[in-house]
Parts: sequence; C-alpha cells; structure tokens
Amino acid sequence: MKRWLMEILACPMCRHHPLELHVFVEKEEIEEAIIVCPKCLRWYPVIEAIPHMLPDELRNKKEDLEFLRKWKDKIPKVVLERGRPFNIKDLRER
Amino acid sequence: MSYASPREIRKVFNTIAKSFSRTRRRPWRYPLEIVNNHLEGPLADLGCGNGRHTLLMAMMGFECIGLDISPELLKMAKELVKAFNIHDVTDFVEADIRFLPFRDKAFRGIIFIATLHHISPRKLRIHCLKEVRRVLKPNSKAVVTTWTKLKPSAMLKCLLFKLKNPRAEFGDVLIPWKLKSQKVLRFYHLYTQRELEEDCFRAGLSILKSYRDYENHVVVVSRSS
Repeated sequence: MKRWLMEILACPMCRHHPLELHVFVEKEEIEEAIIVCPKCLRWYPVIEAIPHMLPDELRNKKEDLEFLRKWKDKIPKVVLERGRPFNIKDLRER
Repeated sequence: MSYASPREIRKVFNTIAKSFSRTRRRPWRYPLEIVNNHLEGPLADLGCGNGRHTLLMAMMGFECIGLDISPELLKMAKELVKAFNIHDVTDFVEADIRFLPFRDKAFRGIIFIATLHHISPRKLRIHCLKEVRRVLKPNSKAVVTTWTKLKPSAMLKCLLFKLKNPRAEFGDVLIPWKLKSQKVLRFYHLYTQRELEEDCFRAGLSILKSYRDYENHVVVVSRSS
C-alpha cells in the first residue's frame, strides 16, 4: 500500500474521509498497518501491503482478532477498546 | 440467493484464481474509452481480477487503483505490476463493490469490466452503478461491460435456469469453471444492451456511447448533472 492512497480512501461503512493511518511495518511500501475511521471507529487492517476495506458483514472475526492481538501494543488505545466491528472485549471473551 | 452472495463470489474466485488468471492475460481495449488528460487524480479498475487492465492503464502513464473482492487475485495483480516495474503508480484494495471505500469524486476515470454481472439482484446492481457515479469526477467517464444473454447457448441457459428457479431474474445463470478435482459454479446475470443502458440510466449516469463487442455489452457513461 502506498501513502498516496490515503488521499482517496474513505470508510466503506460511513463514507467518512479522511481516515487515519498507523504504520507498523514499512519497506518499499506500507506492509502492515491499521486504517481507522475517526467518525465511526471502524478499523481496517493492512496485511501484506493490501488494505482490507471490507464491510462488517464480510469480515472474518477470527482473522481480525488475530490481527488485533498481533499489534495490540501499537494500535491506539481508543481503537483497541472501542473499535468496530471487533475490539479487545471480543479478544477477552475468547 | 446464496450463490450470488458477495461471500460466495469471493470464495469462488479465490478457489479458481490460478487457472482463471491464466485465461485472462490479454487486456480488452475498453480502458482507452475513459482516459483523459484534462483532469487530475487516479483511475480506478473496479473488479480488477489479476490486474491486466490496471497494468495497461499504468503503462499509459496514469496512477491506477485496482479493487477486487478476492485476495488471491489481488496477490497476482500485485505480482504482475511488480514484474513490469510500474509498481509505483498502482495500488490495490480488497473491498466489496457495494461499499466502495473511496471519497466522493475521487477518480478521473473508472473501468468496471465484466464485474457488474456477478451481482444480484437488479436493485443491487443499480446501487453499485450509483456507487460508481459517486466516486467519479464531473466531466470524467466510466466504461461498464457485461456479458450478453443474446447468443443461443446463453439464452438457453437463462431459460433453463429460470424454469428451475422461478424466482430468479431472467438472465441469471450459474456457469461452471472446471478444476482438476472439482467443478465450481460462478453466478452471472447476463445482460442485453438495452438492460445495461437502463441500469446506468437509473443510477443517474448518462450514456455517451453504447455498443456490443463480441460477447460483451459496453457502455461509456458520465455523471449526469
């Protein structure tokens, strides 16, 4: 994923723009990151340099929770606690 | 109908990605319909599959964003543009065409090739075209193509499917993709030229050009004011 993509990305659920980007791994391009909608607090993972901007109904809870666990030290607190569609509460339930 | 759900379409294309991609090497020339030099911003390739058209547009010197619902096809698309060394001007997003993750009026042109026909029912197809309209800049163009039902074998398939599934729309079919170990069924809603024009019209798009090319119906559209 390239940084310039943020100029046009919007939240697929509430259509808010601009979104926030928190980068975890960057080489030639952004490899691992999280994209956050400041309006509805939905978050979208960037995995292997591809942003996954799926609507709630197509998300995979298991994979999403794995992503949250993997990066929990780097994900902003507000997203961990109140992020949608899944957050740290779902992680604790497991 | 579950065979036409986005989840199912995603599963189908992930399963057949490799062999599907081998049969999708040569690009169509439809992207040439929409390129322009009087606007700023990137182009979009909605339903980009293995990225053959994203590559073509990037080679013409435009920034281009490919979107697809299948992560397997997206990986191939990324490999393809890397192999041609035009990685810098392209990017790829995994998303659902019903919920485009782009801001309004983001693109100077959009190609939507052989993708709309995987969506069901009609109301949703029109919704997707409205999404295309939303992210298109004023004075820019989109090209939309779908497969035709106006050939004997396709018409027969449509009739048989409708007889078996009375609640389906006429034009709905399941087309098999043969893999070594299994047969995978892909959902299509096959079109007529008129029907494609009407769907675009209902989505608030104006039709600049409309023609049939082999087994494809093609329309070039813009935002009507």
